[in-house]
Amino acid sequence: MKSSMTKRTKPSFKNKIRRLIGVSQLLCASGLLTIGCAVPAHQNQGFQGPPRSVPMQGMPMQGMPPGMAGGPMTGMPGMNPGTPMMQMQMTGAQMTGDQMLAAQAMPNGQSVAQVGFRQPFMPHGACGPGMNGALGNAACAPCGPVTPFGYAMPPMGPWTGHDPQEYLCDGGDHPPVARLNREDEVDGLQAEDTVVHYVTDAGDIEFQASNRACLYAPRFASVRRITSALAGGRAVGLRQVDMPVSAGRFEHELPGLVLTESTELGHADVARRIDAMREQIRGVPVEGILQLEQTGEVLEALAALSMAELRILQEEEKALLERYALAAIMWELDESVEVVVEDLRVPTLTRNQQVQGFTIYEFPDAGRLQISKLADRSDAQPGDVVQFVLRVENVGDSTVSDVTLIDNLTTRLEYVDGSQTSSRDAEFEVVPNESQSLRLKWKLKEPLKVGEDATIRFECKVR
Amino acid sequence: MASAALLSQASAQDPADYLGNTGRHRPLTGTMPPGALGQARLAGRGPVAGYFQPIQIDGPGDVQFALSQSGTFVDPKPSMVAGLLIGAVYRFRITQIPLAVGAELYPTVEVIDRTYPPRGLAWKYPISIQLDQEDLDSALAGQMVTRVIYLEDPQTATPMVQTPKTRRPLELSADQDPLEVADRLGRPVAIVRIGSVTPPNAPLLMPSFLFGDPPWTAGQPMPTNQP
Repeated sequence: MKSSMTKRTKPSFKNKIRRLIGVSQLLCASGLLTIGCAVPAHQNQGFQGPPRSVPMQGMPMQGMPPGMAGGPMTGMPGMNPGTPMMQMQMTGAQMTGDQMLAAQAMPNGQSVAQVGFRQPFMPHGACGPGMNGALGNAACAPCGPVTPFGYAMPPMGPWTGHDPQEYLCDGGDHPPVARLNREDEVDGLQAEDTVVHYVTDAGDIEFQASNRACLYAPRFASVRRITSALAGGRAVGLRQVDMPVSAGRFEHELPGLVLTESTELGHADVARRIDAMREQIRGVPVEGILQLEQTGEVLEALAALSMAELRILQEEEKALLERYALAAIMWELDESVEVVVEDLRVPTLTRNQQVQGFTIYEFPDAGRLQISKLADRSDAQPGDVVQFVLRVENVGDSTVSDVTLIDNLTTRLEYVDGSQTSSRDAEFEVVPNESQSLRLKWKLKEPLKVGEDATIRFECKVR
Repeated sequence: MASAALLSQASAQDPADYLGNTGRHRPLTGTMPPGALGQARLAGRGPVAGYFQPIQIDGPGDVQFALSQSGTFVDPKPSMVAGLLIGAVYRFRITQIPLAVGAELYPTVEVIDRTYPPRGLAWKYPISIQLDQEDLDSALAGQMVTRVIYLEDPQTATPMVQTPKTRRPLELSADQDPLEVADRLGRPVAIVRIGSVTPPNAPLLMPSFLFGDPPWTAGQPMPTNQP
């Protein structure tokens, strides 16, 4: 109540104050007064409900959320066994009986209030669910959108139209990139990584990562909490008081009563600072998905596709080629720096740009592999078997050797034992990885000449 | 000792101490009343308002599920497949509970977030909720069962084959917030609260018991080859 009163107390004034408080309670209970109501503790929060000692006339527990009457509030923070709410919990197992009592009280003329009803769609400005006003008799203080006091509402879930967590991807090379150490072991392999490394004619060890094959395979899990109203609780109290002890003498000397103004916040602008930040960007954008529309023979066709090929130069591309060639010519500057020093005779600048010698360095042509990964389906449920195809093709200009393909399976992919096949002779090796799955490794026995390819197939069970 | 006392005093003055041992303040908890979490999600970003999120609820044995429609529970089925609005609270009935002849349960399900499936796969990949016998037995014994269903992070998922028939929930103690734990393991998408064993006797109380009987769309379970 927004009021400022400074008066000396009189016996009659106390009665006036009591009457005022009583009227305000009536207004609050009837919903006519909704701001600053001095609501008793057992009516302040609708879901708390009255203590057992308060008669539940017209305010049964019927609208309470599930379990609120049955005692799930034992897990609510800040609850002490001494509070009235805990008293209700101690005997909360009989709340269903209270509902029945309230229901039976209907024919006696007592109205049964619609409490606990929550409109799922409430326009802004009205009391939304979770607020006091939606629970009947309590003051409808914070209306409008549900916003926690002092803290920003954390964004829940993605809003860009997809969630990478719903996809099961395999392939690529996540940082740190894969590399070969001195022990001829591959470091930097993360879950989902699929790479091939090979040795060129020049003796260089090269790595090439595959594309990512993604499946829509969301998996749901759950956590469960079972609570009870009597979970480890003991109500210890007096059954009866035979000797009421009262004060023998009571002197009430109040020189004055000053009612300080109670000003409630109508609106609070709180500087919201970041309390905690959880970054859920895992760098798994769903892009470059090579999905198949059909299974079966289509996979055969796709697996045999060449990702890079030679083609005929088109007429309209000659202008572009000429432009780049001209730019290359223009970049060949044959000018040199001239330095002029004062007080000195200008030296004679001699440009001798004749060819003094001609040396030809012949580098071996670089071999280059291209690796691609395909899946025979675009979505999978837990338990489904997915067939993957790995295909490497020598798209370079020389033969490559020691071709080794590595597929580090992710957590939810389980290799089907004995399902791998290779179009070329290869040593197949399976080792457990850090993702509680397997690391598949194929090492081709023969070098790959220019234009040759190798196709590897294997099956995985979606966990 | 003196330095330790000073340190404890300094840490006690940190205003963030009362926020809890997790070091972060969580305005949304699993103990909030039904509907509050979903409405908070509707206040967030994304195309969630008006979207009927497909869900599928299965149970043990020959248990039957019936979703409320126009104030009654109709068309019981062994697998409840429906599209539910995010933020709304739905009451459904469970009958034919194994080893409990004639017993009924009236849980609620609240969808607090949606999935983003490719076109045409929404009903094939609903939010799958698998209730087990312990859920039903605990609720019939007068206990309150709160299940928070979340979408697993594929990179931190449990490395075990988990089909709807074989997976088990993660059990929490009474002092743990199921929403917080689910949020750590993935993205919470639905909450099932099992505790009510009977509807109210007064017909006037049925609207509040059914949470306004929000609309839903019917769906058919997609055939799968799961064991």
